Order: sequence, then structure tokens, then C-alpha cells
Amino acid sequence: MRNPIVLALLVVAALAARAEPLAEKGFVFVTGTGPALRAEPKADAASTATLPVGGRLVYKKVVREGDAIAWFFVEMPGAGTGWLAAANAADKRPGVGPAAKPVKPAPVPSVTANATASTAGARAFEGFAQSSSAQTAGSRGFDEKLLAARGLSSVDEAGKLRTKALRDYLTLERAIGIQMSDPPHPDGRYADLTARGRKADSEKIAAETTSEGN
Amino acid sequence: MTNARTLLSISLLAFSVFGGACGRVSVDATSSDPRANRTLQTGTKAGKTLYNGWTIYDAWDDAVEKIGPHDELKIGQLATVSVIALVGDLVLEDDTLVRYVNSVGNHVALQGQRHVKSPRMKGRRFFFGIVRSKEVNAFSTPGGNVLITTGLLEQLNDEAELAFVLGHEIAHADYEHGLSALKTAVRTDEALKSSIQILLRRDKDKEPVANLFDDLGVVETASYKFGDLVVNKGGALFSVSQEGDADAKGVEYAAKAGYDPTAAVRVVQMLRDVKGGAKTMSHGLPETRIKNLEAHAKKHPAGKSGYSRWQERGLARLEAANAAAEANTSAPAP
Repeated sequence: MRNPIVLALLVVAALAARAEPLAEKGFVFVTGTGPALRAEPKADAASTATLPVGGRLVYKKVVREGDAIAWFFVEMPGAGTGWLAAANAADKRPGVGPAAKPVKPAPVPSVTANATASTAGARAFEGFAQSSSAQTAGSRGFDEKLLAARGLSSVDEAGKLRTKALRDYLTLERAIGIQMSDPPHPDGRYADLTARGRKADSEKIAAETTSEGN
Repeated sequence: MTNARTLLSISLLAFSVFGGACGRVSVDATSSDPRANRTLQTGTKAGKTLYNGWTIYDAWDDAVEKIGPHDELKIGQLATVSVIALVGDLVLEDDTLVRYVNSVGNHVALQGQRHVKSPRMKGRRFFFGIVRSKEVNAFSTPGGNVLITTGLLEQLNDEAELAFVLGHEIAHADYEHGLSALKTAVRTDEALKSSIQILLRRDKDKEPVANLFDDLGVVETASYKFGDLVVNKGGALFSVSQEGDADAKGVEYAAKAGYDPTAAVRVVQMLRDVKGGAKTMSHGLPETRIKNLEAHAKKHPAGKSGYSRWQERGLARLEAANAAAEANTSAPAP
């Protein structure tokens, strides 16, 4: 007689080797060629809508045939709920999208060139400016827990991270056309230089929303 | 010595940056800033006397109360940079995605308070950034800065849901909930007081971001304090009442922009059910919030979901951005 422990291990290994089953609810991607959303989990049930290939849908329950999922109960925004055949569903988006075009880096001021410029604010608060690596993160006002969560062990590392955040912020700010260099009006308010661009954007989105029809 | 310098600086700050309409304290006549030639309002709150009956609370109440558009922008920028540093990198790998989220956000923001002609409102402009984090959350800082995590974006099913999330955060900025929280916080936090002092003493004619670069070493401390305030107290930064108002306005803005108002209900149901959504749900009891949102949604006509656009320009592009970021991370250093 075989050792029961070995048998148990074999069973566990066999179970682990099986593909990760889809959960009872989650996201699923539509595949195939415009499959139907059906009123019931049957191939000949009435079709209530055509589903967009590549679209991600939320499913909240499934119908199984044996161990395998046969139907997903999905929600299609604008078309209500219904059933999608598992043959037309995948757990990953079908097809690979084109390579991403990154946001163009903005020309930013040199940190090293400007860091030495002493403003009234800097002079008034020079104690912090004279910080050294001997100081703990806590003593400089850093939240040590948050730094640790980001894998940072020293104030210097955190400073580099902050510099990167500042550069990225500036890059994005300029990329989306929000320039902060507009001088304030003598009465203290800003000229709204970007309003026209924003309005055009808004009208474009509104027109697309109207024409899309879902 | 440090305390004395801080107190002195705080009082100078109040004089040189903000002016009151009336009061009894004279000003720093030697300052080159014309705004210094004003007086401060008096207060009656308890606190250590600084000068001529003035308390530190008086000075700070007055200072924060009179934060102008330019100051609000600076504070908001600094807080936003801090949140980015503490929560996760900005997603810059996909230009289409970034522009798309900003387009939707600005479309929604135009339904809010931007049409109000007050200087503060006119000076505000909205910035929508995506931060790479599994946390399911969004942040709003003064001046119209909104950050949304990739973790939250991945859970959204259509553009209407995105519009509600952004509308909620826009409402926090519109109704100055962030500044209100800041005012409360500076009363009890010496480092924050010093931070604001540094910020607000900058050259007003200079670009705010350039100011940040100038004093990069100095403002590190300040920025992390802001980040701590926003990130650690994220759920409790605003009152339940303020969150309720932001929900109502979020539905209103999104609906006016043409989106399905019931998307708000779906978002909060998702936050209730999804792992990691609990922090965001500290806005109030989920079921109460859902019930209120259902009532708000009924006040508005049915709208569009923007499902196809979200799939194409939002979700698919986010996946592309994630893949690009992963490739960058795994690539060997040159």
C-alpha cells in the first residue's frame, strides 16, 4: 500500500497544476466577432445587444457546465444586464495595443543651479536647509512609515524621490497646457489664459458624448 | 532661539503677505511689498500673546483666511508634489491617457464653480494627474489639483464613473475643503506653520513652480508635512458633511456634463466591495452614502456612460502605460 502522505502530496500538486479558475465575480473581456448579450444562459436565447469586442465587462455570477464556466452574467453600460457565452470571453484584453507614446518631458529649471539661490524664505528657515544625513527622517518632518512603504531608507533617497515628483509634476503640468507662468493681475487675480483651450476641449468631449450613442 | 525666530517670522508673514481690512496692529513699514502696508483684523481666541494683544491664533487665522489665488496655487502644488512622492510616481508613459483624463476632468470642472467671477475662482485651474499605486483612492489639494490612483482607475467601468470621481474631487476644491482642513491643521502643527511661512513669503511675481525649485532643499520638510496631511489623513481630512456635499456636487457636475448620474452609485458600491476601497469609504457609512447618491441621481436626467471611449482611451491606454512602466523597470541600466 502506498504511503497516504505521498498520495496527499500528489493530490495537492495536481490541484496546484490546474489553471487558476475565474472567480465567481470580476472582470471579463469580450472576444470573438461581436457576440450577443443574451437574455438567458442559452445559445438560442433572445439577443438583447451586441457586445463590443475588446471591451471589459463586470460579471456578477456565472453558470458552470461541470467544472468549467459556460456563461457570465455581465453588465453592459447602456444596455443593461445579460449573459455572455464563455467561448466569447477572456480574462485578458484580446490583442496587444500599440506602443505607448510617453508624455514629452518638459524643459525644467536646473535644480542644482537654483538650489543655491537664497530667498528671504530660505534665509529665515536656514535651520532646515542645513540638514544633514545625520538627521533622522522624523526630525526633518518626513513620515518614516510612508518612506518605508516606498522602500526608502534614508532622507537622501526621499529627497531624490521628491525631486523626481516635482519634475514629473512640472512635465505633466506643461504637457496638459496648464502654464503657471501667467503673471498675476494687479488686483491679485490671474488672467485665465487657458480658458479658451479648456472650453474647446469641453465642447469636443460634449460633441463626442452626443454622437457616441451609448 | 528657534521658537523665537519662528514666532517672529510668523508675525512678519502675517504682516507682509496678508492684509486685513481693519484692525489695530501697525505693519512692517520697511517692507518692499505694497501689500504689507495694511493692518490685520483682531481676534479674541486664546493663545500666546505675540504683540499688542495679538495671539498666534489671530495671526494664523488671518493669514490662512486671506490666502489669495497665487498662494492657493503654491500650497496646492506643493501638497500635490508631496502626494506624488509619497503615494506613487505620476503616470507619464502614455500621452493619450493623460490628456484624456484631463479632458474629462476639465469638462466636468467647467460645470462647477469656474464660471464664478471671484478672484479665487478665476485664479483656479484644474490639474488631473494619475499616480501609480494599487491603493484605490483619489486626492484633492487646494488650487484645483486632483490625483487619481491607477488602482482606482482600473476599477472603473465607464467614463461616467470617472466623471463622478473627478467631480467629487473638483467639488472639494470648489468649496475649499482643503484650505479649511489646512487652517485647522496649522493651528496644531508647528512644522506646518513654518511650511506655510516659507511658501507664502516667496516672490509673488515669480512662477510658483520656479519658487519651489529655488528652495528645493528647504521645502522638502514642508512638502512632506503636507503630504502626510493629505495621505495619512486622507479619509478623515474632510468632515462627513463635506464629503456628502462633494458627493452631491460630484453627481451634479457629472450630470450637467452629460454623464449618467447613477454612475456615482456604482462607484460607491465598488468602493464598498473592492479590496483596498475601505480607506476611501471612511467618507461615511457606505449604505448611507449609496442611499444619498441614489436620491441625488434621481434629480438629474439620464446621461451617457461613455463606455466605448473609456475602454479605448482610458482602460486600454492604462494597460499600455502599465506595460511600458514594467518594461522600463525591468530594463537593465545603461
